[in-house]
Amino acid sequence: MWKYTARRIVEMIPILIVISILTFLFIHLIPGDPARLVAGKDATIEDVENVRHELGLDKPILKQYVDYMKNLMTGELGTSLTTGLPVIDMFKTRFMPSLHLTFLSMLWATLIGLMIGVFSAINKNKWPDYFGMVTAVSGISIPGFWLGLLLIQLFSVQLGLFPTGGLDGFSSYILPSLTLGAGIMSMIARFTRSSMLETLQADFIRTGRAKGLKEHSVIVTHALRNSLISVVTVAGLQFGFLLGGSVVVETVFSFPGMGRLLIDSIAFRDYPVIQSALLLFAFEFILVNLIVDVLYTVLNPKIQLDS
Amino acid sequence: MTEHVLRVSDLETSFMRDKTEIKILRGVNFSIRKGEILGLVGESGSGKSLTSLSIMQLFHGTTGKIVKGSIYFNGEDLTKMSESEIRKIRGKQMAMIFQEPMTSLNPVLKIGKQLMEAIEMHLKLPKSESKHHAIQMLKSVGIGRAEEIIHEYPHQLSGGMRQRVMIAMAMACHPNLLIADEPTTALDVTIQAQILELMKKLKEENETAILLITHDLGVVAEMCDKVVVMYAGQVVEEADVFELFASPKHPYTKGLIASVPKIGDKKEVLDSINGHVPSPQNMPKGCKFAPRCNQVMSICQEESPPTVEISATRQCSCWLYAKKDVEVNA
Repeated sequence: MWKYTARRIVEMIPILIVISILTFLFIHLIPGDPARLVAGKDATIEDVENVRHELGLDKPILKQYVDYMKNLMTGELGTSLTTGLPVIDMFKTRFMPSLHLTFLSMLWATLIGLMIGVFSAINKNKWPDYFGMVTAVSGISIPGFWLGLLLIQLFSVQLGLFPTGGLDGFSSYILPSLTLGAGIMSMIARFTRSSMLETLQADFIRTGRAKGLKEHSVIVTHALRNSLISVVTVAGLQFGFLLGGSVVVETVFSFPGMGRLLIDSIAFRDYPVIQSALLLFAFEFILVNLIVDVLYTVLNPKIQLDS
Repeated sequence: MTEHVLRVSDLETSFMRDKTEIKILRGVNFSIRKGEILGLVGESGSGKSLTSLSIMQLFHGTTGKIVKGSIYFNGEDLTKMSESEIRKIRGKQMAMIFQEPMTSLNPVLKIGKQLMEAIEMHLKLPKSESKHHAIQMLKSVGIGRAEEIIHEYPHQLSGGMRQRVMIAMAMACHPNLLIADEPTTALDVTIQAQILELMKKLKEENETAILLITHDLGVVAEMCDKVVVMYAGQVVEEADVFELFASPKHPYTKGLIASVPKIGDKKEVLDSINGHVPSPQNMPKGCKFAPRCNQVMSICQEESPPTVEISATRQCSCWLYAKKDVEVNA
C-alpha cells in the first residue's frame, strides 16, 4: 500500500504543474488589461504602467510564470484587490471553518447514511426500508436553502438552541452541517442499500451462513466490507465538493467560509483571490481522489496487486 | 448396521411467488449412515440443490420455507429447531461446500481469516491455536505452503486451490455430515479427480457421511455407496450404486444412464430423454415423469405411483413395479 501511495503522490506532480499553468494563465485570459483592472477605472496611464511593473506583467511570459511558481512555493499568493490583505491571510481565516464544517457534515452524513443503507437492505421491502428510503428521498429533494431556513426557524428562532448564523464556537457548526450533510447522507444511504442488496446475493454470503456465523457478522464482516467500495466513491466526490465551501449554506447561515469568499471575490472581480482559490480547490480535489484511491486498495486487495 | 446420521422424510419445501405457494420439493425421503457417501442425482430443476439448502435451512433472503416433513440429524429434528440452534450445528456438525469455488470465498478477506472464523466460533479456540488448526486443515487438504496461503486472498489462488480451501473450511470442525453441492462441476477434469480423491480420503479419516449432489453419473459411479435419483422434487429411485448401474428400474433412471455417451459408440446423435422437467406451476397430474416416459401407461397420467420396495436396499416410485406388486399380492 505504501508503495502504491508513494507512486500516486509522484504522479500528482505533473497534474499540479498543469493546474498551476492554467491558474497562472487565468489572469491573462481576463478580457481587457489586467493592469488597468487592478489600477482602477480612474487611474492615469502612468499609474497603470506602474501597476503593470509592480505586478511584473511587463516581463516576458515565461519569466512571469517562473516568478509565479517561486511565489507559490513560498506561500505568496498576491494581494486582494478589495481588502488589500495578502490572499494567504484571507484563506487562513476562511479555510479552517470550511474544513471543520466539511468534516462534521461528512462524519454524521456517512455514519447515518451507512446505517440507514444497511438497515434498509437487510429489511428490504419492510417498514424500516420504506422509512429509510423516504428519509433518503427527502434528504435529496429538499433544497439546502429551504432546509437551512426551516432549521433556523425551528432551532434558533423558536427553541433558541443554536445561533441563527455567524461563527461563534461549536454550536455555530450544528445547523449548517445538518443542512449540508442531509443530501450527502441520503446519497450514501441509497448507494449503501443497493450495494448491500447486491452483495447479500453473493455466494460467499451463503458460505458465511453455512459456516454458522451469526447474522451480524455475516452483515458487517462479509457484506458491508464488500459494499463499501461504491460508497467510498460517492463520499469522496462529495467531500471534494464540500471542501470548496458551500455558497448556499454559507450564505443562509452567514458563515465565513471559502464559498462566500469566492462568491464575494467574483462579485468584486478580485482576481488574485479567485486565481488562488481555483488552485486550492484543484489541489483539494486531487488530494481527495488520492485518498479515495488508496482506500480502494485497502477495501479491495485485488486492486492493489493488479496495479 | 451403523446408525443414521441424517434421515429426511416426507420433506416438502415451497417458495412464495405473488402470494401463491409454489411447491418445489414434494415429499423427499432418504437417509445416510455414518461414513456413507450418498449420491443425489437428477437433471437441473429436479430439486437437488434445494434439498441440500433445506437440510442446512439456508433460506435467507428468499421466500423458501419447509412446509412439511422432518429432517432428523443425529436423532434431532432440524425442522423443529430455532435459527440460533441450527446455527450452532451449521459449520460444526454439518458443513457444506458449493459448486462455485471462484465466488464462494469472500474476495476481501484473507484465507486464514475465513478459515479461522468458524474454528474460533465453534471450537472456542484462542486465536493462536485456531491459526495452528487452520494451517493443519490446509495441509490435510493437500495445500503445501499453508503458512503462506493463510495470508493470501482468494483471487491469488486457482479454482482447484479455492475448492481445497472450501473443503478445509467445511472439514475444520470435523462435521458428521458434509453436503457437497456439485463440488467439481466448475473444475478441470484432472483437478476434479484430485478433489474427489481428497473428499474420499477425508471421509475415511473422519468417518464423515457425505451427501454428494451431482448430475455427473461418472462421479456417482466413482464415489458413492448409495444413489438417490430425483425428478421434479421427488425421489423416484433409491438403490445401491452397483445395483443402480447394473439394472436401473425407473424409466427416468434408465434414460439418464442411457444418455451417458460411451467411448466407442459411433452414433451420430447422442441419446437423451425427450422433453423437459415440468415447471413447478404446471405439474402434470399423476406421475410427474409420465409426459416424457417411453413406457407410459394410462394409470400413470391419473395417479401418482406409490413407492415400492423392490429389495431391502432398493425403492422405486413407478407404476411398472407397483402393478407387478399388486399382481403378486393377488
